[in-house]
Amino acid sequence: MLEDHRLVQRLRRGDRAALRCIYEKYKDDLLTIGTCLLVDVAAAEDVLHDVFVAFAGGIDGFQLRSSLRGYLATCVANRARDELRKKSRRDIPLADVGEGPASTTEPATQLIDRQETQRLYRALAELPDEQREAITLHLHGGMRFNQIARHQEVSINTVQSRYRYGLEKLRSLLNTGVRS
Amino acid sequence: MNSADDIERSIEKHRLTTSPATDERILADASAALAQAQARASDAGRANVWRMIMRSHWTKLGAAAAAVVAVAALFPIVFDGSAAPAYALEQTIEANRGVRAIHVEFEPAGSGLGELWAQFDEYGELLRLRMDFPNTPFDGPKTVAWQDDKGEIWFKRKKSAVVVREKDMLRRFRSDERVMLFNPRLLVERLYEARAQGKAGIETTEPAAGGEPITLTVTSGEGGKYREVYKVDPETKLLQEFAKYRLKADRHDLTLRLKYLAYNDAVDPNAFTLVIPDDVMRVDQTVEDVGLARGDLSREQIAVSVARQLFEALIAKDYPRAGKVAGGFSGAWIRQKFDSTHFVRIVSIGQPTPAPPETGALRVPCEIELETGGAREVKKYTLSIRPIYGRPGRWAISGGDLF
Repeated sequence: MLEDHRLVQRLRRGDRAALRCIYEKYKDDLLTIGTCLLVDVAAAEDVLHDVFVAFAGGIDGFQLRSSLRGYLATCVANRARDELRKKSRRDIPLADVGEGPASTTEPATQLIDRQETQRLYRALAELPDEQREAITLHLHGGMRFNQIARHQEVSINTVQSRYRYGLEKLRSLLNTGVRS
Repeated sequence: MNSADDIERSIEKHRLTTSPATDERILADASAALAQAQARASDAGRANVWRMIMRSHWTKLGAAAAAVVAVAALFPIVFDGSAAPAYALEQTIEANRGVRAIHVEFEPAGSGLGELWAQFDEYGELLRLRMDFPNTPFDGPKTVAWQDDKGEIWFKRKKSAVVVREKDMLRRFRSDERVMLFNPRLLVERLYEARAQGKAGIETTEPAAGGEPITLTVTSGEGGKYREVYKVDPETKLLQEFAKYRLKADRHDLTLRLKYLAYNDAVDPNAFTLVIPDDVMRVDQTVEDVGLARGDLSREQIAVSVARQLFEALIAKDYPRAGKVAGGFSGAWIRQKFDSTHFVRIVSIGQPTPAPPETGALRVPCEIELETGGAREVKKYTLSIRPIYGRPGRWAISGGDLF
């Protein structure tokens, strides 16, 4: 948190190294959130692009009041919502789900992981938007339920229910197989 | 997948990662947006400074004086009442943006005069640094130079030098209070932020006569324990001098004085690579496997272990081993330095105490029995022991009474 405050201060002074630090720190989580919400990696990359360009361009008036990760995750979620409104959701192309977990190095494991990743993302795509959002913002955005409740403009109980029902449905989908 | 926990773990595990091409595109566009934001802020800053100038007490007096001049002009009276605009800290912040090099003379209290040269990039990040320290209490006179993640430290009295490598060391100096003070950009921004947060009250004295510096006096701490005095060039708005005092027995004692001798003067690039005389023992820790591995030991335990192994090697006259433990000195150099000293036994190795926190070192007090001309005596040594730069997990001697 303190480190983020320092990075934001440096960014406000025009420090491009600070911009890179913030980007490197959060890009993967934000891309994952965008992909979960949009079910489209290319669209998620565009959202990531727009969020960072807007963040850097508006740094002068930016005040960091809570977590930077949560703030950026909310920005991604808002833009993803706008995108979803603009176009109907489409199924996720197989080749679009990146390279799987960054930590995987063994090719065989990587292949399995990629298949698992695709399966998981397909299952996520089956969830209602608000459930998917609650899950991804909590797990990849590091946001607490009360923060997500403020973002979704619902009660904390509703968010917790969405989260719980979403996980339950995912479990069911992954155990029974997801439509390809 | 049997439980909600499994699902959560699976989701967390399956993070996606961006491609290098995407990173490049986003960072390029975000950097361009940042540059535009900076340009806008700079314009707004100038306007803001002007607004602040116009709002200030002194300028209001100046404006009132101007009104009097206007009225006076109606009468046959000669009235010379010009008023200079009041100084605002933002003016120095703005002036500092153009600083790319500094030459500073510094005076740590009671240690003589030192000199510093530093070069910065357009964002104020350190590119190169050289500090010539006067007689430091622990290491005597020494010179430190850093550039491109490579540092050279020359202990002049001890006739030894160490070459080290540490990634992003210059960037990390930003948070090192000792070095940060020398950077006028960070120094003034720190003051600006302290004032904004209500932590520092600034008393500004503008000179009555032209050419005299503007003086900012900042008092902080309980009972006004600390005082900082900034002297600002009235023309360039750059810092001329900075002094730091600490209250002791109703008197403010000087702890550090900096004189900014030159801004943006060309610095010989060789100044950042030390020219070390041939008779100085030079250790290149970037290539040699030196010191001891910490393993599972605590910081204190490894420091004691380094001290113990050094003295055991010296007692055994195993100079190559002593050189390695000490940080990579050659056995021949250790022999030359210590062969005439007869280390008999370790009397005690005391509890390590922290050196100044920014050094990351521990100081280990040792009592060693020596034999000189048939007579035995116990001599006290203090060794400074720290992790080796760029060598994670390895510790060695970094200074003190022996090296």
